[in-house]
Amino acid sequence: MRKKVCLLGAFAVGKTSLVERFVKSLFNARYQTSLGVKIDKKSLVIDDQPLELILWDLAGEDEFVSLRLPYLRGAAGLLLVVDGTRPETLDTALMLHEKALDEVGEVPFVLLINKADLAESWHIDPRDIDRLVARGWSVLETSAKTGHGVEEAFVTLGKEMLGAE
Amino acid sequence: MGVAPRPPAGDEGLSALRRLLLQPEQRRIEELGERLDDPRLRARDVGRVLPEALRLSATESETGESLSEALAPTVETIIHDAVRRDGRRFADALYPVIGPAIRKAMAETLRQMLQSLNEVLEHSFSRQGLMWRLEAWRSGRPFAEVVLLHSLEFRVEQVFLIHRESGILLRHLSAPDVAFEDADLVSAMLTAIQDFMHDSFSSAGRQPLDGIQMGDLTLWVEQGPEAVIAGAIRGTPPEALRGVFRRALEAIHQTQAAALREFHGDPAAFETAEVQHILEGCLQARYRERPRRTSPLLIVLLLALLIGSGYWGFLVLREQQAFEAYRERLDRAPGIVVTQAVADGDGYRIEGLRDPLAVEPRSLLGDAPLPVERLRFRFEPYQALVPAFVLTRARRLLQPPPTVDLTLDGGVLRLRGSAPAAWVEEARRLALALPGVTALDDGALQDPARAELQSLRADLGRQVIHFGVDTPRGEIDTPSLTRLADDLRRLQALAQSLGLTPQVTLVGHSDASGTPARNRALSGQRAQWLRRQLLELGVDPALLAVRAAGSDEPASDAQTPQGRAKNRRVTLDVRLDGAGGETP
Repeated sequence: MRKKVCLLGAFAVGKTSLVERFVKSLFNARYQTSLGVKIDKKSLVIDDQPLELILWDLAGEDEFVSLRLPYLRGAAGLLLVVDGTRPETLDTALMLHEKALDEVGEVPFVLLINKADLAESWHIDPRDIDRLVARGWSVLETSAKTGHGVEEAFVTLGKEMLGAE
Repeated sequence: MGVAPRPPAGDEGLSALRRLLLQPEQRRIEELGERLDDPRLRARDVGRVLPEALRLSATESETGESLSEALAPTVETIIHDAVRRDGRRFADALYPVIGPAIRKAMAETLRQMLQSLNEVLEHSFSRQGLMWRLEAWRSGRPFAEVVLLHSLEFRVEQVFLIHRESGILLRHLSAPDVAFEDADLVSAMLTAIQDFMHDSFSSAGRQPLDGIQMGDLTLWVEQGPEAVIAGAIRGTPPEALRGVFRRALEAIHQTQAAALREFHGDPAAFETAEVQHILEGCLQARYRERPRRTSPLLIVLLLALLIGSGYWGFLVLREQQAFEAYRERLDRAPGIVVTQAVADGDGYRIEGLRDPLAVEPRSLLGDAPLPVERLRFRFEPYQALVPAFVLTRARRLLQPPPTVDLTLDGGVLRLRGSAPAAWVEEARRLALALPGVTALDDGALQDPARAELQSLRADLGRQVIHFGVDTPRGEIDTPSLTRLADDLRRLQALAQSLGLTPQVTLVGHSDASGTPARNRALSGQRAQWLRRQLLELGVDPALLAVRAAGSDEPASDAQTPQGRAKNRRVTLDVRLDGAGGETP
């Protein structure tokens, strides 16, 4: 199986560095700044079934750069990345999720709270996260520095996508 | 108006009227209904129009292709079933075309081989070829690629079939020997670039991106509603190639409509031979036609090949002739019958019958140019009735003594010479058991014992022992006496072995100088003396008798002293008495 997965998050939440150790890359990261997207591949095996995730790492949304919606088309899953030390990135992620919902409809997704290695300087209100979990969201803590939780995030999303069929 | 309408009568009237008016149509409707309901009638109707319908459908260009696509699976199944059920009929039907097809394929392969050989030689040794080698060495690219690039007009190196919405790669094909990057990523990136262009420059019209050019590499994109075909082309593609891509994309949409609509990330649905076939149509290439020159090296090579094969043919022919001659020599050899002599694998196989007495087959090879180590013989043993062999076998079986001479004369085995009776008896018994011997002739064969006996008897008959004047003691030396005793014993043994009874009478003689009485007594004493001497030397007493002849049987006249001396003697009289009486 091959699935298109979009990687979404605010500017500088560390999406690209989060996945770069875990994926196969062909293209230079510079493309992201010009084209607004970088494409990588992640191969998984879930329940003995090979699954290839074509990762569309979309440029981070901020006041200067807005998301290019056409890139979301055909996505079968989303990875939403939040910077644990910057609470406003959670809002951006929620907003991006809304946009994606409009563009591709209900698709499986996983919310990643990045920078788990800096957990003591997190500023996100744990209650906000609890609320999301209560709504049935998959929320994982990850660290680009240690690689913690990244593989798990791929597997969680992969399972949800295969289950969603 | 005065008459009130009577409903029943009116109803009847109306029915009648309806019947009158509508009867023909009604019958027609019933007929039609019948034709539609009855499957047999319907089948007949369809059958009438089916050939024409198929013909029409096939000739019209829009439906032509979809008709063959619709029929293809059924026809395939029919062929498959037919082949499985009765492959012979199919083979028979194909027979006339298979031969020409194979010949054509072989001729084509040979032509290509020659051409590529020609090219290799040309590229290897021509000035241009050396330049290209230099270029390949400088740029680090394989030589083949450099050659290709220089003679290439265009070549579609890769074809991507991409799901339009998600950018996921459905199928990817590449030309042989083309190195390429991860096609999944390229496919997604291509889609992203499309989206980017579309998003960024949508004001410049809704025209989707249809090509990117980078150096001598062109990327062509053909958009469809569900799928996209992209081709990576090296060189300058002709515009007509667009049409090829477009038709391929249409064919994909037509044949894979359901799979495209329901695509959820599983590209397995596109791993079919049909999709492959369609996309392979896009992998086109064209090379610059260069004036075809035949490399002189190729001519030399072909010439060498010709000479080589000519020489080889000569060797083969010579060997065949040598083998044929050898076979004839073998067949002529007595005691060898060749039943089969054929070339077998890399050698020769010779089968037949061979008498163990016949000549060793290899010894007939001489200096024939035949591979001795590749000759395989299989001879069953048998007995040939060649006279020489019959005679040899007779000699082996009968073991004749050296005194016997064997000859074969038209199946009659003749024995000549002398042989012991016991051997002759054995030979008579055995000889007729020999194949090739019909009779035995031993008329000319003698018994050596009898012959010796005869000669011994003659010898003894000639023996004379002389005596001095008036003495009964003979003048004979010991060796002569011993020889005489030996001869007598031998005589007795030989005679007895032949079933004869020998009798030797020692006859004493005197000269006539004394009185007859005195002479008789003296001659008797002389015979007795000799008998005693012989008995002492072990001669059987029963063998020896004596007789006194006196001077009655003189050996010479008595006028001279020499004559008288000759008359003083003892002679031996040998008799052999057999069952049939006295033998002379």
